[in-house]
Amino acid sequence: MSKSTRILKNIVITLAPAVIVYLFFLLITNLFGEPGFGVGDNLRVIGYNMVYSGFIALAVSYNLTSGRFDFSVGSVLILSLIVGGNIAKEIDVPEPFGAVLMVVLVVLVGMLCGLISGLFYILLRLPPMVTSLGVAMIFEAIGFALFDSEGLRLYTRQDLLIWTKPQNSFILLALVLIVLIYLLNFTKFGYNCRSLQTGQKNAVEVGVNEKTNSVVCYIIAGGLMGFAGIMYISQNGIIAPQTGLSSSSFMMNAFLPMFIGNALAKYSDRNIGVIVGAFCQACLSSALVYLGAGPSMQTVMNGVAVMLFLIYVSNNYKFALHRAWREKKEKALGMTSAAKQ
Amino acid sequence: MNEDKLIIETRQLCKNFGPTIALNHVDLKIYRGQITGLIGENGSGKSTITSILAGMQPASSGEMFFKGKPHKPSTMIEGAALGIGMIVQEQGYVSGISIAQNIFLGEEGRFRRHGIISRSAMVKAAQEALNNIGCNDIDASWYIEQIDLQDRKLVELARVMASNPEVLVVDETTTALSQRGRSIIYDIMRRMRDEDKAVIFISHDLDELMEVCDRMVVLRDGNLITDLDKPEFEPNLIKRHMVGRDMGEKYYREDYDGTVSDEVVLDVDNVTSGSGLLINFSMQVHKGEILGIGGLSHCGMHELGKVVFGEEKILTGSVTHVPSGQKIRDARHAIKLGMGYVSKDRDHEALVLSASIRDNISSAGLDKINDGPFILPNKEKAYVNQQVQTLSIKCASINQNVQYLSGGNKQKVVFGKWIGRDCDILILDCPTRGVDVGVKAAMYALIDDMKRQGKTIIMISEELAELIGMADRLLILKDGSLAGEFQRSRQLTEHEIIECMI
Repeated sequence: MSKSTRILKNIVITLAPAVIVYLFFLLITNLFGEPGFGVGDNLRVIGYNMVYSGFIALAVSYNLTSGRFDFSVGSVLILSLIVGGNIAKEIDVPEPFGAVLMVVLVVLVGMLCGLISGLFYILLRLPPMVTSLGVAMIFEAIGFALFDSEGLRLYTRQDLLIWTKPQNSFILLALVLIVLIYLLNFTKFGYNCRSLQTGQKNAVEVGVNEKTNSVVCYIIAGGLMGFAGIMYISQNGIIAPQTGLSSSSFMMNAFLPMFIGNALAKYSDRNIGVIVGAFCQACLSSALVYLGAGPSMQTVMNGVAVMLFLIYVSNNYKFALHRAWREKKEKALGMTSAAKQ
Repeated sequence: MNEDKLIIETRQLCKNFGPTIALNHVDLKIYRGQITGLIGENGSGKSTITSILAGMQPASSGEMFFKGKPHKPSTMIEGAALGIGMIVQEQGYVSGISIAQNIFLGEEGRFRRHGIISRSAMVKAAQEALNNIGCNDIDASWYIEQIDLQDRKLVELARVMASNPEVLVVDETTTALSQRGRSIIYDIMRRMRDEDKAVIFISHDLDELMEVCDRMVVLRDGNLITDLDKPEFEPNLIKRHMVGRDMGEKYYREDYDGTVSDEVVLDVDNVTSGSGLLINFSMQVHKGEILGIGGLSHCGMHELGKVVFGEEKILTGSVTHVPSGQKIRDARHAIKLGMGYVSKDRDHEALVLSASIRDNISSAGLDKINDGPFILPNKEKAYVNQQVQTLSIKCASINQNVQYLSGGNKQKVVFGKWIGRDCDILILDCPTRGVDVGVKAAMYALIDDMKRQGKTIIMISEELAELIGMADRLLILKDGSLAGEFQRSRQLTEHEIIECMI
């Protein structure tokens, strides 16, 4: 297979899930007499959900693919928004630089939170799930203690809420994707990430620094949760502090896109795969709304989709295996009948 | 030896693992321009001393000198940077990434141009590293999973050689390699010797060591027993030093009587396996027979063992346990019918490394030690202790985790799982891989003893001497089919069998 054919094949395979899912739900909603899915305003909603859940899925993927289950990402989103957003609100900067400044501040606070999470992980040497639960409680408490427990309210500051516009959110996503693709594919950090994912012991023995790599992953995840926070506040205008680990619900959006991203990683890049997965999830959610499903049913369907996808990913090698078995069996039977003749 | 050539020296080196003494005041000298063989029983301290030299673990006490300077590497990276490269017995590669990345793992920064790591430059350099050791047929751009386990070991060798070490440690690597892989590694060792570098070669294959090494150091129970130069190499002398007693000439079976009972216990009829090359293969195995199975790499012999035990998908044909008349459905069924299987892939298929010796051995014999629904601890302990004593497994206690045992002792645990069950049919795939001569002799005696009790043994092996020495009948496989059959005979030579294999 020539290089250009291989590249073309990889592009087709990477984009195929998004196209198939979109066309499938377009057909289904039209068959049920509910036109409007996937066009006009609904396409904008799908776009927004794709970017929002895409950022969260990207954030979770940087740790979960290395076996670090991070419950604190939701609290990072809330705390970075409360701190970064309130500071940006107080600084008088002309439009549209205020919105840009808010992104910078929120992402920086997110990265700082990520750094703290990472340091807790490597210093405490506890299972990452345990550490992240503790960190999440600390971040939730800090978010509650700051700014009179009011969180962040930006109803009246439309100049800061420009990121729901599709062109703006897509530019933001594209810039982040470029950086992540560079980091994961063309830097020592990215190479180390991949080797640590599949062979931590051997990688560490030859000099890969697992601790540094983990901390960088946490920082990236924190920054990405900052971006997700920007998308959240731009849509809702308000975020309230949360306690009792309720912030962990933010990460539930991450799983389907992340698993799809991992499956598509071998054809292109995990980051792109995650965004394709986020688009598929956004289509599913929108279509369910059109088909009259309530929030509970949407959650159930999302869970079912995750499970079906994992069943497929874990078993798809069997198709090739059965094909090989069939061919070998035919060859063996052919040899037997030839021997009899 | 000219002391100017001295490159590594240990003085009074000790290593303890809790109450276990792994190294006891060892004074070892390694010289440039020599291949030094380290030989000793499992648990004698060979791997321990080289791992300390390479920086994998610290010594408990004593001194080390490298090129005349104090040597105390705290990590393998530090050891490698100083010039000590080591190929380990266990898996040393990372899956899920390319061969090129495996070769330059941790050194990707070398290929950074303008902030971007050049994948093509890395692949080119990796290909050069592979070509340099004679592996031109391995494509560095492939994923590591695209090559077989033997070639993956050669990738590890390419990685070590790419850093141009002054001392190369080869720790029981050759047991995992085919003849081609062995030739490659021997060539590398000889090349290093000719370049006035040093090689430390650990192996249980005495013939291999005697052929390749210039000097041999024998360790026993953590003590350095003797240091022999090439003219002093004599198999029985070395074995005596290794085990601390005269082993005599008896090693394999002494009789050449290949007659077995007419009673067939296993009938493999026209079997084609799901994986590997085995196609339309038939054989019958008799009660009390030691049936040897041999062949070159990828001939299908390892799949045959799995097929017989019900571990491998059968596409055509069947395997019948003749005494019961039942066709073997799966491994559980085979165990119920009194069969056992020792896999070649010890760490992945035969042991739970993170579990204790007790759990590993008793796992195959729970139905032998249960009392209704209960497993009584005393009964379990007695069962496990019996296997530990029979096979002389060196361990702190039966509760020790298997992962901390030496390669040979791990193999003994696998053996113990099935010996304890008193199986009627035992399939042994490379049973003495990584096992020292003393234990090998004990295992051969055990196999012979089982045969005399009327047990049936299918012995799959890559060691022709073992097959000739032990089997009543020998089947040679080639490309998944039967290529030849030999009866036990004093006249049977390796040459005849190799002719059949190729």
